[in-house]
Amino acid sequence: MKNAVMIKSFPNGLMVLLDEKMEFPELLKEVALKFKESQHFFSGAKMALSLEGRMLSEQEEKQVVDTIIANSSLNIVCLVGKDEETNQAFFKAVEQAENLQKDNDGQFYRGTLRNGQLLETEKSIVVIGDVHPGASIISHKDIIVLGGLYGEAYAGGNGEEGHFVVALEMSPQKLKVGDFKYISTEKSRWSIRPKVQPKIAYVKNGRVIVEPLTKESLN
Amino acid sequence: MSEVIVVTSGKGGVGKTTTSANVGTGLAAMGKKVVLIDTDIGLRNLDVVMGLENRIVYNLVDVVEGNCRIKQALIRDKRYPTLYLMPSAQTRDKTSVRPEQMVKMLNVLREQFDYIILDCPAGIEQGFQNAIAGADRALVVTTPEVSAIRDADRIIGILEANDFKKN
Repeated sequence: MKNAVMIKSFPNGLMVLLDEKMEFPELLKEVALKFKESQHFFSGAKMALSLEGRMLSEQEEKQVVDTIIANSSLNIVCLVGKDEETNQAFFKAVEQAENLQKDNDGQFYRGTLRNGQLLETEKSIVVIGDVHPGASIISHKDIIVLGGLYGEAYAGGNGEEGHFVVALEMSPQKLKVGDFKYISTEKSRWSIRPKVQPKIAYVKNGRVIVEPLTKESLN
Repeated sequence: MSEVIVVTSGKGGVGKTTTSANVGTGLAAMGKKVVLIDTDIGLRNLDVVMGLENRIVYNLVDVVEGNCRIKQALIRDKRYPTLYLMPSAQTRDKTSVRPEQMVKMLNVLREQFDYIILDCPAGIEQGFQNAIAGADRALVVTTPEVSAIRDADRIIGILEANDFKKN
């Protein structure tokens, strides 16, 4: 009864040894208890999980995993078998999952941002649609609007000035890159028939410069 | 199959009430069973536009609070026998009704009418939330002015966030 659930570690993961005879609902409770006890020990770790000692149906397996997630702050990347080959594959999977998160610094938004809507992100953002007056985008990195920018845009939101804003029609109410504000000479115009002329805004010598997007500006 | 349509705009004075009255009357003239509901509690106008203000006995708030039956609050238009109006209260305010209560009332009305048209108050506060709560479709009214268009744009954003589809 005492050891209905045992947790062992193996390289890159955890093995959970489950009692064979115990009723499944009882077992689930035991799992919950065990992981709650060791909650602090595992906090936030990325692990693979292997369930042993008992044949589980797919549904039962899912229930066990859900219980573990609910009762600990473990980050379970996948379930594995015990043999060496799957272990290796699994190790790779963990690594890939980690890398994916690191590299994934772009984000898409599909649709129009309307008056009163705010889009804030720490990643670079690509908006496929228009940014209407009264809407704002804040990104810690770059902003690309595949449409008209008539609202507010703030690139380099954490004060980094090396970022840019690109829009197919650049007519913002407010534009900021890093700590520098763009002082526009003309008023923002929100027209029905836009003149599509892609422009880029970036910081040069402590000023925000807006110029047509050409091959040269891409360098 | 009944349909609940909310007529809204954000900005005031652009023609929500006029649109509601005319669309409702038009549908009734086509022989559909239509009820117009004025959700602008405290500032009712739809009854005046329809020319039915001297026939008001019970109103929307009475129905929601259970002071009368739905049928008692409905005023039938003499010109179009399938057109009804549910007026709003003049002595109360928007907080007298909650969105759940609107949904409940609309579900009863759905069984009796082909079209339910809600005349929405200006603004995006409680009155607006009440009006859009049970609606299937929205009509956004605007005039060709910058301020009205900005508000309409904002309204469309809120409607999209509340799962109204574009069509």
